[in-house]
Amino acid sequence: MANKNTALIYQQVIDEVISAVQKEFEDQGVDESVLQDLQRSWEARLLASNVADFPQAEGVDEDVYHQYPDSVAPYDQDYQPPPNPPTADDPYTSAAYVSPLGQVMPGGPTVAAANLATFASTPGSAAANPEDPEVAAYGKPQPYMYPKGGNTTAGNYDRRSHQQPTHSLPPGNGSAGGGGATSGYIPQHDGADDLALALAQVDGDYDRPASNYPTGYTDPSATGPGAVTNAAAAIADDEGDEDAINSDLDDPDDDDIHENGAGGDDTEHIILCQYDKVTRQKNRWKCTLKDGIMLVDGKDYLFHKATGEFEW
Amino acid sequence: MTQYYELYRSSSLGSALMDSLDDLISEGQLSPQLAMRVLAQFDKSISDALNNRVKTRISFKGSLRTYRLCDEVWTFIINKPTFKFDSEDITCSRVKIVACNARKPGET
Repeated sequence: MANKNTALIYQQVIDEVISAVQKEFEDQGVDESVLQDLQRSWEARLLASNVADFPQAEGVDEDVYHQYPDSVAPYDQDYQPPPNPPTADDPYTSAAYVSPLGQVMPGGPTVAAANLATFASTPGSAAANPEDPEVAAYGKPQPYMYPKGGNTTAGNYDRRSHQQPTHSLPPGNGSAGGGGATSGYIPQHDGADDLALALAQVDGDYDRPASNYPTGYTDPSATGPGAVTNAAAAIADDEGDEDAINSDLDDPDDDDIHENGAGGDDTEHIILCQYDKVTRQKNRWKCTLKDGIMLVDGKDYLFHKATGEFEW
Repeated sequence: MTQYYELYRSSSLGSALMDSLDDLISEGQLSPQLAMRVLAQFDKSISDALNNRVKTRISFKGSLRTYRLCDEVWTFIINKPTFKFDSEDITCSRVKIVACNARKPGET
């Protein structure tokens, strides 16, 4: 294959970038796990795009990747997948950020996130740790928690009134470990943190399904956004058709889209490169290109030099 | 300091990185400034890799449908291009070429 080098070069570039920025991450006090997450999700995405023959490729295709609860797991259990709507966390983080004692976490979300790993590995210390309310609040939407969860009755025991609106949801979601896990965790907040919980539940109906997301089961809410995306894509296609009818200039691109079927990166053949020289004699063009990345038929090819001749 | 083009960010490798950075930023784990630093490093690394580690030479033919030179960036759209690699030929219906000037502004 002409693109057999691509995977190798890409891997080298990834490693080089990651190691080059490591010091800067340290200088800014960003935990090393964030950098590792970055590398993992970068590699996973590249793998999913299937642009090169990666030696470690396990037949992961893009569709599987987007159903992240299953497909991401092989890469990293802790990986926070992209489809998780980040805004879903915000009510928790903003509400719970100021702890019941009035402390503000100095390190911000980063510190809390960094603590999660340790925290999750020592669930027994949860009740004893004074910082728990904050950490726990961050932890709620995370998948780390569900080994210790699964106890929905515990989730109810001191908080029935607050739980009502949201707790009706997990059973609807199949009452798998996920729903139980998050609610099973809640009782460990105590006292003033109720306020944070109450705040979070103001828009709980929307938050809950989203924060249950990463816990690994599939439910209607998981397929919902996908369906919406498909619909949006369909709409976009329709608009494309309209454009094609109305504009000569748009025709070529739309032809490409239709020739190649579904949308996405695969449909566009593109070369990103630099030119040394471009010359023209009447209608005959010659160009000398260098340092290029070609994406053709869904595969990436790299070249150091390329010469092209074409007639207009 | 040598300048590096940002055009490779729209490659498969670059967009994968940008998506991953976006995720970390929206999760609040990464500052946008640091993400920009990562991207700048990517610009450098990919440019160096293409320049120094890739040895492939190709030639291609086709019929030029559109040409454009704007701000020192050439854009060609070529119909029915044929790319000749050492061992194989690759064709497709149409390819778009985006090429920045290899001689960067400020260099002589």
